[in-house]
Amino acid sequence: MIDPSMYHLLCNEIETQCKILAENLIKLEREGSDKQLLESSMRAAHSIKGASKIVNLDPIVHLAHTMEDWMVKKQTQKEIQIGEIEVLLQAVDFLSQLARVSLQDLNDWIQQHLPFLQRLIDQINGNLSRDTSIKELAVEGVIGSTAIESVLRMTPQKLNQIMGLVTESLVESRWLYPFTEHLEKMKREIQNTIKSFDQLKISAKSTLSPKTSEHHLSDIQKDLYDIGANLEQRLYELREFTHHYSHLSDRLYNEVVESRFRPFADGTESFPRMVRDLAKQLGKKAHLQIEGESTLVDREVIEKLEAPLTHLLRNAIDHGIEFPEERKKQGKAEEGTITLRADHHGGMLSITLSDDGKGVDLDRLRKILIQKKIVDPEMAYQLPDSELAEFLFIPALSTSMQVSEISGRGVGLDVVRHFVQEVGGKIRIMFEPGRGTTFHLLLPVALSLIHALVVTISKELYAFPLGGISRTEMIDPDKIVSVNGAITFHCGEEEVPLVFAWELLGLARPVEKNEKICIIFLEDQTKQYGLIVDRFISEKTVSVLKIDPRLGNIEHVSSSAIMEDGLPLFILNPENILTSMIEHKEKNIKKKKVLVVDDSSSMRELVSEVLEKNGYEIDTAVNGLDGWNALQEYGHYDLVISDVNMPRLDGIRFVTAIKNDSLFQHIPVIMISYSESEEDRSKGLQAGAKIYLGKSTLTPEILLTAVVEALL
Amino acid sequence: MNVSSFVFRLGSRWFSCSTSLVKEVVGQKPVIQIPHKTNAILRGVVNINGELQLCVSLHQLLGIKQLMWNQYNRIVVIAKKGEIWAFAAEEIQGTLACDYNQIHPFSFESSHSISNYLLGTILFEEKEVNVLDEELLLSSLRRSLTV
Repeated sequence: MIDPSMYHLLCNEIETQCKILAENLIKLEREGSDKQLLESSMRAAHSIKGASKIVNLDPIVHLAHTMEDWMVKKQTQKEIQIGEIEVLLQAVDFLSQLARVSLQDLNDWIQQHLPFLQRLIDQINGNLSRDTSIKELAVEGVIGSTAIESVLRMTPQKLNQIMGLVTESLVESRWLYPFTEHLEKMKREIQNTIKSFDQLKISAKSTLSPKTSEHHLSDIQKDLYDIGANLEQRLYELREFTHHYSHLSDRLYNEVVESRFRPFADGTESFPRMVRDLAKQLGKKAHLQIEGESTLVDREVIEKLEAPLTHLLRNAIDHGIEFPEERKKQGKAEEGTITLRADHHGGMLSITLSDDGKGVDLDRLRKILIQKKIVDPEMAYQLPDSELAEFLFIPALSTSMQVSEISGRGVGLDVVRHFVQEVGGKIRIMFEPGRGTTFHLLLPVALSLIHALVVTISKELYAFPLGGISRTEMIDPDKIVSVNGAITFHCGEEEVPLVFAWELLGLARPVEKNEKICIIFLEDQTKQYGLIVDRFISEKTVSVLKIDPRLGNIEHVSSSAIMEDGLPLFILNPENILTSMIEHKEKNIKKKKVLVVDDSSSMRELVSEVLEKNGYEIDTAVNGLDGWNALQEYGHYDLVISDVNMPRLDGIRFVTAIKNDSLFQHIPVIMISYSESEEDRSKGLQAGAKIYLGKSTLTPEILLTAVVEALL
Repeated sequence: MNVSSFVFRLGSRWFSCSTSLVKEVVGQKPVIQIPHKTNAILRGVVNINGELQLCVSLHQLLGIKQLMWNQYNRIVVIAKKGEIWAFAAEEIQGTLACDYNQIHPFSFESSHSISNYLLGTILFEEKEVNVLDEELLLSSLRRSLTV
């Protein structure tokens, strides 16, 4: 039996080496035989062989050995034949898949794949024609893969740096204890001085000679001087400490924030292979060039970028890059180049993906826009090209422009744009017909940090991400026009609908009136909307905190943050707010609210689940007393479902109390009990239950029928 | 049966809960509203050691008149199985050993009554201390999320 921790190491090793192998193989295919590449590949295969040997995985040892042999052979034999790389890539895929198989399923998995493995080995050795079985492995569900816990990798060096700073911070903070004692001592000294002063005051009137008085006074004066000098010294120390400590905190904070960063290359490993495979499949030639691989990117951004970038790459190959003959005719190189580039730009992460293909077919776009009645014909020909291209991001369009097997998988550019907006970034498309298309994504450097405009709404602070703001303006109140209860603002030709932020967020109307009205403008493709806030405070970079999951999704809010002074605030969700403003009034269908009272948690969950699935809103209570409290706290239940035997307050007394209370007696009650005897049934009904059900015969259907009946 | 209890004051009444429920006590802090979610019981969120915790009003839940706030008010953070709540209290007495056998249980009151949230009362240093029923308390607080 393989030791689990050893297996974990093996999987890690395979994964690391496979990345190297895949990268090298693609380079070998493109650039031809290369001694260095072959050597590095040989080492990678050798490492896999060594690691598999430790755990006695003979079939894998065999495969790795064969791969290693191939690399050695090619170092002298030079020429790489068509199809050879393909087979080796298959072997890499096979190994990568193996690394994702859980230990308990490993044996079965290998047994199952032995014939395939043997064919792979034969093919690498050149003993079999290559066209058989190539596609067999394709994409197969990984067996028994367990959900991988999200883990944050950190280099020991980074952790040590952070540890060092934390230790320093700990030591520094200890300084405060003696400091407090110094101050305490000083306080006592001042108290003593005050005492002597008071005594002097009293005795000066009666007994003391002027000379003694003077003597005492100069004593007090001396004490005061001493205290003053002492205080000066302490103040100096405190100032030093404050300076030092805030510097230390900043360093610690930055280190922690930075520990979340990874080089851009971490998120792009799979792309060269994907571009190669896809181009091949389409009969095109394309090559991916990645620039700015060392650019540091928040690991969360890296993870989230994968899907949209994959989509853009597919798009570029499928729609951008032309077929080799066509490219040749136009005087371009047969092989198309796609460039993916990451760098930091003005505090943002800038990602550009450009291809040297044919650009956007504007005529076709116009036709579709007109055909789909999104734009009228006249407008379609008046709009500048750049604005026309923006329509590519509309959901209805991005799918119909791209119906093909590769990129038309029901996800269009709107998905890419959605991602960008979700993280508070911007996306632009630029193209030159015949020369190529460029997508430019401007994203926040870290999702954990958001650049936002801090405003007050209903007297409390809110952060509005800058990415979602088209502009802000402070206007005079008389510029706002009210028509049929809706307010608007004339902005040039355009009439901009306005909404009060406090109203949208369900907060209290602010009492204080401002001389100027502060408006945040948001826009979708065609129109502007204005959100009225109380005040603009300042632009800030805030560090994002997750919201308590118990709160679920909060409408119009994306996350929360804490300001420098410790004050919490919520970060608003511009996309969500814009949608609400466009739809204007949300549909508000009130769900029926049911209180489920049972001391058995499984019963509570069961009943709640059935009812929630059928559109009821549920509150639960753990016994009759808790049920009674729920009624007192909330009151407006449409139905109560109660157990009979419960601690604290049983069902019969609970229902009797409901039926004796003028506020609640109208609420129908269903009782559910284990006891189905006639006697108990009539007790329940007598207490005031409308329906009495037996637990042993309860089915979701019976429950639902009873609920509908009780609510009639 | 002696149980270590945490004793605090809400308005003019004394309450206790098991000490193991209390995570920490901090000074007064601003509570900010949660859009669309804040209600009479769920007051908002409060910053406790750099994390935002849900803040509830036990005064409101138990129908107790809140006295004038002063600087000595404290925020009590309670936690059970990872479920954390913060609430404000006027005064913290500290912890004491409560003999649960001495609890005077209440009978059910068919009204919105403090006694319906209690195991009973106990006499301590001539103070009548209301012993909270944690199960009832937490269940009520959970409901405040769906109002």
